Amino acid sequence: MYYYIFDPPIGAKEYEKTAHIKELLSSLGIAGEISQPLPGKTVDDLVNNAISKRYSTIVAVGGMQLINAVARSVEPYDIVFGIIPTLPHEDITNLIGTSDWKTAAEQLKRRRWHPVRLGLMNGNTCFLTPAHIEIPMNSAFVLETPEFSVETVGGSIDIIPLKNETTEGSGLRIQLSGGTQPTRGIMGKLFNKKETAPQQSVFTVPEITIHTADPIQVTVAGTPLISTPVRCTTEGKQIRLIVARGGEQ
Amino acid sequence: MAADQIDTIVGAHVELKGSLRNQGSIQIHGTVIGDVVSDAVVIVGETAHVTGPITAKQVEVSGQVHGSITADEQIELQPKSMVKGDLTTKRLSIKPGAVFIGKSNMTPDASVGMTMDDDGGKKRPRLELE
Repeated sequence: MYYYIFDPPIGAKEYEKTAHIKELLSSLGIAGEISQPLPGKTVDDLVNNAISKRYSTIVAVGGMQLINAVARSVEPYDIVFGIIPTLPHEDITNLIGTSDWKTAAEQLKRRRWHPVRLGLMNGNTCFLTPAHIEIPMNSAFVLETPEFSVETVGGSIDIIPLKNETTEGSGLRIQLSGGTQPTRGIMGKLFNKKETAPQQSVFTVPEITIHTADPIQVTVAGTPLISTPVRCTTEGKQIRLIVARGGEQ
Repeated sequence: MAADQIDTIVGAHVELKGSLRNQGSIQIHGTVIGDVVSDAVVIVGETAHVTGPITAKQVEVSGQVHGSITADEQIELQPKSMVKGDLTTKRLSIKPGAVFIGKSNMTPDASVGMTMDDDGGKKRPRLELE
């Protein structure tokens, strides 16, 4: 029933943690087939293997990179996706209600799942956790949505797929941090009285296109996936993600 | 209003052009050129410049607005605000120091609160009307 894809452990501590996780899964009665990506065997290969063997639940056990890679691979299929994080991360807590591996493993047994939308970049690259773009401070960029455009200079952009339908509809939460105003001249900067005003911007949009002066990497969980310009939407299909009680929105 | 109750925020360093629409609240601290529409509260911060109409349930202005403001419930002009455009609402509050150039249209059950500035014993209104 359960197919586990583990991050290859590095070092004694990770080997120990991997062993503890396997022990816990057995004690919970949810042990299953265990695999890990290797040279010549990608995450896609492992997921295809699980699908061909008719497993109903695929679980990613590892860090953010593996979790996002497995989520991208399982998206086309009608199966349940589980996560056991081996490192605490706020994005994981937001997703499944915990970033503790023991609690996450116990959640798997309850199989309380919730539909979650993936983000989609340039029509073919899915992301489960926020995508991030770091813009140099002297570099202008433009965000375009169906309703408006935003222009600013420098800072960072976080693109967060909304987990499910909200009162605003499905879509993306966009957070801009830092930056300076594009039209401010030197006198404006010298006599700037605006630094006490909130610097962060937050929008919810169905889709967004980001243009930068030069190509800038878009990363998910620290992994560069593509470069700007990038068009982000939410994938039409949802994946069924196992969450903690109260982890649903 | 707590930050987690604001659904949309336009930061101080941002210039937005187009239509900014949200069912939830909107807080503006940068520049908006276009219309702003909310089913809840619109807050125009001290550093904000809005050029275009604002429509919401409640509107609170501390910055600059060039355009009409329509609020089902209330419009509040704070001391450092400057509004050039017509106001339409049920309740209007204009604090001392606010600058308002335009017409005010009060809807049924309207009430207006204008705080007069006390200047050496002579009370003078701190608003200008066309």
